[in-house]
Amino acid sequence: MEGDQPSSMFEAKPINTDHKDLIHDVSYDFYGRRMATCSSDQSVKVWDIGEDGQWRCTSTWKTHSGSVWRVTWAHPEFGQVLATCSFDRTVGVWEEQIGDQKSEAHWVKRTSLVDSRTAVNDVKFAPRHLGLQLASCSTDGQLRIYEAPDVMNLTQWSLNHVLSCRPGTSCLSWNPSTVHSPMIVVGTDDPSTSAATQLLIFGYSEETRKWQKIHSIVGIVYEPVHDVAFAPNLGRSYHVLAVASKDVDIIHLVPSGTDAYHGTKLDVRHPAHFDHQGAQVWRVAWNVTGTNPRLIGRRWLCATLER
Amino acid sequence: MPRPQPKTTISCRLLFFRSCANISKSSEGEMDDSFQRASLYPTTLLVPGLPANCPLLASWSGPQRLVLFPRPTEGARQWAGLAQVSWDAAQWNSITRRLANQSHGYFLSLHEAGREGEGQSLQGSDILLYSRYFRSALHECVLGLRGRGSSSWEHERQAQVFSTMALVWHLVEILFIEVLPAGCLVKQLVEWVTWAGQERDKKRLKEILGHTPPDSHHGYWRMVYRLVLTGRLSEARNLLAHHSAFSAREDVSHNCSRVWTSCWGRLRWSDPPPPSPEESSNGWQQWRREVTARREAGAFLSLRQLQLLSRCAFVNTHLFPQVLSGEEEVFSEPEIVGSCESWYELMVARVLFTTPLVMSSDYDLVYSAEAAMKTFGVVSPEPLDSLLLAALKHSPLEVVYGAKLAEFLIIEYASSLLAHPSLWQVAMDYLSECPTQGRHHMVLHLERIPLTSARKAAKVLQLCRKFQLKELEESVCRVMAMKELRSGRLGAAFSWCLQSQDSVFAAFLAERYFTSYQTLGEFMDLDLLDNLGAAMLISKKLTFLGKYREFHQLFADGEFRPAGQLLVSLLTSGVVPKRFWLTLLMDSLPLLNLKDEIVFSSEDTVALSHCLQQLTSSHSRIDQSQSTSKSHDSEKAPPPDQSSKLSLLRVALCRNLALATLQEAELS
Repeated sequence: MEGDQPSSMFEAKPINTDHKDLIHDVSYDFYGRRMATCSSDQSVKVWDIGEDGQWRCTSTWKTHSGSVWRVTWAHPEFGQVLATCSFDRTVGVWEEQIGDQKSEAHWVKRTSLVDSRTAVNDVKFAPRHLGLQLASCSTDGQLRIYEAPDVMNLTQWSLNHVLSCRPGTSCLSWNPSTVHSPMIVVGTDDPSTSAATQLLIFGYSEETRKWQKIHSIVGIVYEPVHDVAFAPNLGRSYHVLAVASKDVDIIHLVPSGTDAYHGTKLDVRHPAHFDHQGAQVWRVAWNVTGTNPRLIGRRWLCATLER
Repeated sequence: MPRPQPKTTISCRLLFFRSCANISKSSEGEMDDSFQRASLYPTTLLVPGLPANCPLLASWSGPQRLVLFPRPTEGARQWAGLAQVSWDAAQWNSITRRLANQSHGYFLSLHEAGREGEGQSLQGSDILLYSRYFRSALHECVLGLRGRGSSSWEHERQAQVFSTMALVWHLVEILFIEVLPAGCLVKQLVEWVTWAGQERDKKRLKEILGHTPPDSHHGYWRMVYRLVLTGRLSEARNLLAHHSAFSAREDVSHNCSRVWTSCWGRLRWSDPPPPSPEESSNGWQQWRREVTARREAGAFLSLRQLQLLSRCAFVNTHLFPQVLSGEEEVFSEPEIVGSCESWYELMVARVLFTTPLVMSSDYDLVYSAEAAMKTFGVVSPEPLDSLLLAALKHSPLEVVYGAKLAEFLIIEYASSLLAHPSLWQVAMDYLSECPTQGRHHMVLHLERIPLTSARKAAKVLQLCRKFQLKELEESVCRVMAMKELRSGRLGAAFSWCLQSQDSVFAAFLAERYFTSYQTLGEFMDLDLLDNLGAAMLISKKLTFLGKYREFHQLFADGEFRPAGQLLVSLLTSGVVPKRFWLTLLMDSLPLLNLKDEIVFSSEDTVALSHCLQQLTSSHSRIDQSQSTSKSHDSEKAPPPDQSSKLSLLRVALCRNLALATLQEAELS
């Protein structure tokens, strides 16, 4: 039994958001000083941290005509930019406009990407070194990759690639490594098929200038996948992936040459598996250096009701 | 109206997983990550107001900070809130930060000294000096933490950690850093053991002496034993002399002290300067023989005073001579054991009297340590005990793992420093000293430092340049430039861009700048353009901009000929994008229409006409394509006033060509 730290080492502070319905995602900007929350009430709220360490809501606006599943920040090199994806089948890109006074900042819709025919479940910006690109995955299993060729003109996005995965894609993650060619992992949470491939890896080849499926991860995860996350690279030659499903799995992907289509070949290793004893794991997130993944599930030790 | 939140306080479990760099498997040449459930966590924490039994999600909010948000699937749907969880927030208070900064200074100085030595290993005296600085900094920190008016639980815990650290470090210093000849080690060990408890002992002594008579204090004899065991024989003698039995009779006390003095006086084997090993060995053997002889001769017993004492106090005074003559069994006696605060005090006492000439590498130390631990009843060793024992054993930990372990520990320390916003530069210095992994961690952490002000960004840039992180330098400059651009401060954006010599961004900004000139009709931020200097060359577009500004200046100064030449060279060089050609051509108009001078030669005029021709033909092409298709492209047909501009230009150019040709014909 692990020893428990006295709880006074931990501080927990509630933040009242005034969202009218469930919160589906909370995302921090690159520096951790701005926060965006999205909810089933179809709105997004942006918060800034003050000098006193308190979060204050600086913007709130309606973004979609359905529940907003995810919200994500672009790298600050591209300005203050958010992307949202929703049950209403669209992806929205938003930019902050600064008014005459600093307090008057408000967010403007730059574009709405309406290519999907089903709900869009996840949207993520590409790592900074790939420019301003965006990937989204929908319930019908389509992975779409968009690019804004002119970073100052966020109204122009071109849909460069559409890739097919298994239906029910629920989450995606870009590989942040700057020394390997671009790579995305997609997870599915469709329980209807019993196939043991809930995870697909797509890679981009410079020679063919195309994205292609380079690997299906077989035999490791059998349950619906709720979240995936690549870890920061830290000079490793291989890639580390964390998967949240019924349990938590850490997977290593070791590059081993290229195949006939110029795709990277990968060897899969499964160094760690953490049993959650029946509770689902919903989120997995790495800290900055990728040494400390944080997993959260339905784990309640005891509930003390105090009125 | 906000819905009422359920007022429940919920305990929830957070699960953290740490990667423990598996340092022993270095076959791949990389640190092999293995993940284990971290032993520090999970923890049960009380989070006010979260609904029970529903999925819980989270996001990292910063170092040692998370935000939790529940996502109830049924019931309690009205709860829409977040809980921010942070831990170890009080780790870096002003006192511990001071310690971090001080130790950082010593760390840097040591590494500087090492580098200056150029391959020679660091001088032992240097290391010793810094070791002592470090210990004094630790001590200062402990005093600071305990000295605060209201010492919280957290401060006391930290003070404990640091005082333990000081204890272990002191032992390490004695055993490994300051290696003195035989006989000196034990003296250092004695000093080590008494140093921590100095204040406490002084207080007790004072208390005891304050009693009248002192021997009625319940701690009197324990104190006497303590003083003897830690080699403070003269103090022990003084304390004994205060015994009520002695004060009555002068001659008795005098005799007593004579015996003690003669014994102690011969204890020369530990006095500085340390004599040669043979001398100290001889000295000690002699002393021991003398004490034993006296004891056997009953010298101690003949002290009626001591006999008196033993009758009064039922105290086992014959223990003293046994201690002094170094008999091992005495160190298991309950009174002796009882007067030691910890097993290592007992160990040092044992070593002092049984094997005082021990060296740090002798097994005697370990033997004494283990025996002492056993006697003291240490069944399951605490981390401190294991650590001390490992140090005494010269554990092969450092020998085998060496640099890798050191690097791992430094990286862990640096990561913990980053939890406090003011310690980031300290963390970077530490990371820079880690040869294999330091650089990666540095980049990852440095790019996340919030650039809250120009000054902070400048500091980050300084570090980027120092460690040659070119990409990060560019990225930071771009972020700052973007901030300025969004506020409409093009000039400031430029200055950030130039700092990192970012040619791509410079080109982008130059275009933006020119576009704003076209719209506004005048230059903004002229100072910047005028003082570009060599920076112009980082991007062709920037060069163009600089030269264009030069053109305007020449024009303003009345230097028409050079201005004209410059204009022509710009248009013909191919540096200028087509969409700016019209502006440049329009700039040539006043030069063409000069009354007195002919600025452009016939060749120049032909070149200009050529440009004009290219422009008009491209416009007519667009005209045609626009009439055939209905697409709205970015390039539009020239508006009516542009056509008039074009015709004006044509007329002026023709005129100039004629005049120039005539002039040239005249000259030749």
